[in-house]
Amino acid sequence: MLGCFVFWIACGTSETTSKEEPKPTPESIIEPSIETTDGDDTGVDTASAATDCDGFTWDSLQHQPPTLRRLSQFEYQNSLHVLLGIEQQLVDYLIPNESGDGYDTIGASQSLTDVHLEGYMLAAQVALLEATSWYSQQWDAEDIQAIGTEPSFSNQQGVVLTENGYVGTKIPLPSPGRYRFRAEVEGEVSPEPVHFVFSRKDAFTNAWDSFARFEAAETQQTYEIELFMDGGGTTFFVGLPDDSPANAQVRVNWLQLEGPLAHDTYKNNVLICEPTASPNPEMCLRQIISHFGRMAWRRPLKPDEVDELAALSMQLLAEGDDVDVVLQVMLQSMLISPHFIFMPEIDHGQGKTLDDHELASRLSYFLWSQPPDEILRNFADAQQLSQDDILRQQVRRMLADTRASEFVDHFTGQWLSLRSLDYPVADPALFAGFSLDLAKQMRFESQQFVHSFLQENKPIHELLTADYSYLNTDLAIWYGLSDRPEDFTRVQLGGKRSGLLTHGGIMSVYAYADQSNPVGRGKWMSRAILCLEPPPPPPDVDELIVVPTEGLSKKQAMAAHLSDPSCLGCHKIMDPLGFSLEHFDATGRYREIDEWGNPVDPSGELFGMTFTDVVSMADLLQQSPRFSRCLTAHLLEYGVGRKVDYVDEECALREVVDTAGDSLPELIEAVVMSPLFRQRSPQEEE
Amino acid sequence: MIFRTQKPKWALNRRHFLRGIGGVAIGLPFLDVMRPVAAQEEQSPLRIVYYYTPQGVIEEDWFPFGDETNFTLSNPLSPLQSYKDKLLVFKGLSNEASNIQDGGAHFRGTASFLTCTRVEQDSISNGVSADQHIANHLTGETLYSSLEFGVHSADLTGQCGSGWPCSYVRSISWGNNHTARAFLKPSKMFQRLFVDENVDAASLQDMIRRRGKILDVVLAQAQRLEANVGAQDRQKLDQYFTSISEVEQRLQHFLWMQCETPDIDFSTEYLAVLDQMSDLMVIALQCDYSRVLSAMTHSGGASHGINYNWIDDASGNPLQDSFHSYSHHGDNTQKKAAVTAINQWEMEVFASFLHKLQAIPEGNGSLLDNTLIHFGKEYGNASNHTSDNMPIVLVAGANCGLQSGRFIEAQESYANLLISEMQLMGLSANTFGEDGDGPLSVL
Repeated sequence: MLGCFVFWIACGTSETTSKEEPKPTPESIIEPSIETTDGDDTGVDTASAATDCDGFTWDSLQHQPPTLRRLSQFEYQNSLHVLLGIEQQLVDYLIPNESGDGYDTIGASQSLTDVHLEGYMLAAQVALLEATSWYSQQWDAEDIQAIGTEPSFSNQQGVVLTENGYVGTKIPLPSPGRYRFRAEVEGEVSPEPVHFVFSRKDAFTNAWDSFARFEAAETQQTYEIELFMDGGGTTFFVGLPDDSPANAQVRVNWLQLEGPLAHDTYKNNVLICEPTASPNPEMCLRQIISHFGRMAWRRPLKPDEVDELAALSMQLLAEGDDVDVVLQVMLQSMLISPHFIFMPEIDHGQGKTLDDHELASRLSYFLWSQPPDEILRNFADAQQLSQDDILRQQVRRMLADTRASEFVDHFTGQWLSLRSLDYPVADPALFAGFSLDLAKQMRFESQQFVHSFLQENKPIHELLTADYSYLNTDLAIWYGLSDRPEDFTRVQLGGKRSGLLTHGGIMSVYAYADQSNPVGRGKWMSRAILCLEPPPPPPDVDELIVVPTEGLSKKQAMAAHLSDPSCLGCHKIMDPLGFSLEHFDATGRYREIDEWGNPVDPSGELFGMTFTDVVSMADLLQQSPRFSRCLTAHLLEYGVGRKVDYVDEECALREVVDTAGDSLPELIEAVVMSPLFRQRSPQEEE
Repeated sequence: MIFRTQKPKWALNRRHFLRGIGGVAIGLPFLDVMRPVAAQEEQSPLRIVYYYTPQGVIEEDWFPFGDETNFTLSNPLSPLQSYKDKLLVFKGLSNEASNIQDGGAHFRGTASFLTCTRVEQDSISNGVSADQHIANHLTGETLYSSLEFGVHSADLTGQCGSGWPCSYVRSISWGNNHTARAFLKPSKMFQRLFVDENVDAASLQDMIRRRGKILDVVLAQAQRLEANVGAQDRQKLDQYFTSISEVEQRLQHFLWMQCETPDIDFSTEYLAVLDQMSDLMVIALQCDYSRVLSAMTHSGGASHGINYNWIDDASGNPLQDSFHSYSHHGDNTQKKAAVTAINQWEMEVFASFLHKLQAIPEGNGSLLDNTLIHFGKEYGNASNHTSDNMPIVLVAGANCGLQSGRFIEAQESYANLLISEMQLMGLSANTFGEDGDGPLSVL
């Protein structure tokens, strides 16, 4: 019965507790307690006193070391993108990792079968094909039948486009890769600037995509842009955009598409020598093995490892394979090697501490979801990354880098379950206008919001309390705001919303198809924000769907069901959290009246203190030391790839938070600096 | 020689497929070829299919009425009417491994559906499932020892609930090394089974030779790595070894496999995906890719985002909630009716799979004649999530050697049914799981 975000009626047999809560003060806030029904390990302190951490030392900490983990499908894809300079989607070839308790980095929850392995082999092969496919074939529009509002390029004068005009050609692209679009265009004399666009039409979805926009000069000029394209058919157009002035005209003399173009990355990372041209192909292949291996396997290769791969190559050469084929085979083997798809952290005689390369790898996949870059590799090679000052400096560099968006995307996708927005459940009949596209924008809102904490060093409490968000026009309209920015810029929200807690994405994920889900939302908040793990309801308890009841509000109906005291243990925490969000419907819109036609009452009590609405509730949450420790626990689970037991490790979490400043980057830095991140296990193994 | 008894009726979408694999013709894992075994062998091979559809039933509505040989199918079972003489409908079987009263009912129910092994929350561990025992026994007979079909390839991540590993609700099939098999949605299964046909024999041979070398090298790397890691990590590497050797063994089969690439339109809507799934299952059996299939029409646990609005309730209004929500019916008549309506729809989907099997001629009869299909759900009582009185139907093809057309009431261990099936498929198993102690006495 676990794992269902539903209302529960607990009807257990245990004693009921109406223990007097000590009078709360801001200082004692907030060590919440959940009264359990049977003394099960609930993951929650049963005492309301703060955990005593006086005797804590890192050496006294015990926990399960992380289990050997694989790269997730996103990490694998990113790694190949970075290593080979390719751009196509690879995740579709791979089997997603099982997400143990929400994070797909957790090694203990992963399994590997022949199906997974075939996926890696296929993805590596497809990626290598893209990386090595460059022949710069060129298509000129005159060669192919032109289509558009204008008939063809047969006229030597070119084609004159007027209002809504376009001209283009269908081109069969041989393979995924980077292509160069070019056209020679001449603007007609005009009082106002005339723009034209390059567009393409996807052969399968028929969707138009205007991927470049230029202002037409009056003299004839060549315009060009490079773009990644999937293989298959495409249609390339030059046209006048909809917003053109009525008398706009341009003359298109020719258009041309060239590609797939060579990848610089592949040349730099692999082709440091040219094995086909080399008088000694073995020596060149060895150089490539060492050079590429250091990047892919995230450490220098040992001599016997190079020997083994070189032997493979020589064997294939002896069997008559061409040198370039041999190179591909060798690279493919390196990309399905256990050294690549796993992240081995082994004892090199230095005990529990990760070596510099392991640390670089952990750090890089934590913050960038990809292998270490040259700077990290160099520090690791010099065994300097583990020096505190250098490690700190690298964390700051990485968080400020654009690649930190990978952390934002994947961490929030899992911590906040935003991935579920790929499968929105709201019933379109009840929520007209809610769409997959809107759900994606909501996901982007939350990502942009979290990313701003990295960019602006904002304090973590604002995650819960911010009265602003990052919206575009569609979302601002959806949220009922009069301030309607265009492109996910910062907007004040007017005091009714509170940080992440009221983001449309989260409201939508934790909702039923037809209505909000206060208990589900409350349970999410307990787990994600407070690391309170509600115990399962007693086995003889049925799930309850609260149905509209004459004369009762939703809250009253729930409360009536909770008259059984043994239910209160969990629900007294979860329900007020969830009901504080009742102003937000199943798609995140603000409302005063709930689905049952009753006025929303968001007030409640939490940790013995009262709140009036989500804003004052969030204020209580952010005052709880439990929030920062819980966020630390989530960061560690994601970054290290093991489950963190909040109860057992609370003192360690507290230690991390106490050494950190208030901001999210500082907290992440403190996480990385702590033994929890830098050691395989804080105690000696076995 | 191409083994093709009839041109498949699947809608053609070749271009989509070519795009999907990036136009690669060579070196994709497996070729669109098949061995003409079934056509050549005097007797067609026997296949077994485990077909799981999650959660329970309303017992009084679901089971047939009557006695063993003279019985009437209930409404939810009525889509099977034309197969009644092939059916063995069971009532009273129970899976003790799932009946644990300390939580995790969904995880235990789904994970033990074919293992009859009690799983725990803390570490992922499960027994080998019946289908995988059979697959191990038949290794080498076909290209794939087993194939696992699902609808979402674990696309939905997270939210598996309360710290229980997702694998428990995502997989009914568990292989060696405690490894959950990956249930692939049809579009992915297609990628796995078929590639473009423009590969000549010489380049195929080259590909197999090179791939063998790759696998040898990475296997050696993993072996050296294993020497340096702890016990837990070693288990992960064992999974890697096993995978390597399975993929390697399969290489040898490439050259003699021949089966045409079917054309299937892979739309993503749930009902369409179910249809694609049964199409591919039929192809896999017809082409003898494997003789052991398992299928999940959905993962276990709560139903993500499926509200069954294509099914009407008694008063003609579309359903609008998850199966799970309806299943906790609290004796509410409407909700119970909704569960039964969903159960009936599930059986219609299942029956359409049977129709497809029956439409494929094989030997002197049909593919269905050479197939044993085990349909089941992990719970009897939908509301309590208990695994006694499980709803289980066998559809026994004529050549299965089972006396069918029966409604069998027996308070027996469900594990014993799995033992019977394993024996039928040639294994000598006599115990299985928590409480399996011999073949089902009533068979």
